[in-house]
Amino acid sequence: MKWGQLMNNKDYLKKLSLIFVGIVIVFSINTILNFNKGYNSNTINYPLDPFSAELLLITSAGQSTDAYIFHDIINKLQLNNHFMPEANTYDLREYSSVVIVVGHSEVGMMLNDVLYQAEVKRIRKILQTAEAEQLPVIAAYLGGDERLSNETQSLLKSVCDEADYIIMTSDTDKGPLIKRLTNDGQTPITCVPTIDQLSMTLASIFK
Amino acid sequence: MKNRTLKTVKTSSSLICLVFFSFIWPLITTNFVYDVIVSIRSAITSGDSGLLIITTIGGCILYTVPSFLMYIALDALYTEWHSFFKSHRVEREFFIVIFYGSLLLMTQMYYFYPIEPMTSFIGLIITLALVRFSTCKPDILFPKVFIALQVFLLVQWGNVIQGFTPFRIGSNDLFVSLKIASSYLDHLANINKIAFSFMLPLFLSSFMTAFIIKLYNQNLHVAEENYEKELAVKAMQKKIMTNRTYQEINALAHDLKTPLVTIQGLMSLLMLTKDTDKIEPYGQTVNDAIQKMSDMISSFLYGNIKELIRVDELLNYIRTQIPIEREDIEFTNSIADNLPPLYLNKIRMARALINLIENAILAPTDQLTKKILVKAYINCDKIIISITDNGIGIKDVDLEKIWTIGYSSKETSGLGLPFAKQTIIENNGQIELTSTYGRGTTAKIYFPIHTVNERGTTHDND
Repeated sequence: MKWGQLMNNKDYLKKLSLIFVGIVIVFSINTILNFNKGYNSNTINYPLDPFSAELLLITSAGQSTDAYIFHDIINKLQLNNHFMPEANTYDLREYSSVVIVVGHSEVGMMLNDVLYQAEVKRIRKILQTAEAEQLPVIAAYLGGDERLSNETQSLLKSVCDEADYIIMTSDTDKGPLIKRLTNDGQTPITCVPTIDQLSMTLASIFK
Repeated sequence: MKNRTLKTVKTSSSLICLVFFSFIWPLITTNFVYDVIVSIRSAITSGDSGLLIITTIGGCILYTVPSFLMYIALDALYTEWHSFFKSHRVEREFFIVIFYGSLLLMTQMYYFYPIEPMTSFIGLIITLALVRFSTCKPDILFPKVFIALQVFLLVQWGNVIQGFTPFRIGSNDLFVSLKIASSYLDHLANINKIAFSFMLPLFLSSFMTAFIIKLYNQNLHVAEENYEKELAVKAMQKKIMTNRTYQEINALAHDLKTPLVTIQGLMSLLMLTKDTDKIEPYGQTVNDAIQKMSDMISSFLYGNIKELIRVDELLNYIRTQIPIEREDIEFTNSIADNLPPLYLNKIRMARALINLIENAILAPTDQLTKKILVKAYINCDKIIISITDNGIGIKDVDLEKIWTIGYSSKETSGLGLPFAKQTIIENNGQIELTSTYGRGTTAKIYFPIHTVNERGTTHDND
């Protein structure tokens, strides 16, 4: 069959188009199913001066489920800790470090019967008390790009301004945000692309 | 009218309640939302990815219900107020999209409830497109329910696929928490695959449903068209049969000329004669001719007027109505002796038999002489009149169609045989047509033997 005849054969072209569409669909599905955040271990920095893990207090800023993930990682690392999502200033006395896991969750707040303004106030007080008692504060953010709502950003900014160390997950380049959170690089930060890489980072952060 | 208005008010109220119910769904299901979050926390703590999958399924169903209910209620509401919306030129899709969008917006504004506007809207658009594609009747809700349920569940599964997040799909608190927890439990790829394995069959099934409904509607449309055509054909056939009756009346008018000529001749003679003795017999003959005309007209006008008639008398009457002058036609009568009389409408039956004989005359033949044999005899308590010709006969396939009104193999009107059959049946007779292709055709008419009881009343011995 000549090329001209082949091009005139509508059935042939139709089949060819269908095969092409099929390939595109399969490729797209494969891409979606194997969606993984990019990870380059070279970009992860570890602190030179680790924090004390004698007894950690883990609390939440925003009442998201991320705090539970952080708590679980810490437990798996067998670090001594207390998990108090709604911790208050009087709870800080006996701890060597405070970890505030940031992530605003509307449902989490309602479930714990907490209003946003009250949560902001509570976090601010904890930060003030920690500063007064010279407790190291570690800000943790595990929500990635998905949870970065206005409320989360506001909480993140409040916590990071007073934090001694920042740990966050981010799959995309968040240069301006990081710059803002670290006060132009003054606060040390470790960015990991995915949560499962957090364990190693935390192990190196705490003694 | 009053009942109708009352029904409309009742239905509309129920539908508005359903819209309201879908609107307050977040308030009713708050505890379920909390349960989802608590389950996620438990799954994280216990590392139970199975619990996460169950939670995901629950979350998807939780979000499917209000979208589905809202769509169905709005669609039904439009159907109920169809005439009002049509008069204001508001299209169904436009009405649904506007109200659905407004309700979503209000839900987001007034409730803490984390809604999924993007997936809800995509679901609505796909549903509307599929419903339109399926061409289902606007007032029938069932196909829409079936399509909508599948589509809304399909799109809600899209919320748990990580790859769709950049498109603001699955970006609310609940699904974000689910995805982060899945990622932590190293279960994201599995969740994606599970979601896809739900989405693909639902996607295919919803499209297939729409396609099947479309085919069903097309078939229904064709069936309706065919039914209408069939009705039209029947009406046309009835009209044709009426025309045929007029043709037969024309033939009758022609037959009426014979007694008229008799009357005219006798009247001329009466005017000329001076012999008063002849006035009475001439008058009697004129009276007989008038009576004959009256009988002929009555017989034709009223089909139920029947009379006892000898078979030979009937066949002779028929023979006089068919002037056969062609030399190549050999017409033979064979009448058995002592046949009981027939009880029928003479004029109509004569016209029916004439039609059959004319068919025999017109039948093509490969013989030099066309032979037509009309036999009358008795067999198995039936009087049988058979008309046999030596034409080329009728093929078996055509034999089934010959009683159909309008069917003809000789470029004639195709009304003769149906008319003959109808007349024979009206006179308690039966007709049977047998033919051997290449040898000829025989039409047999069966009449019941008629008896007269002692009281003078008549009845057929069937």
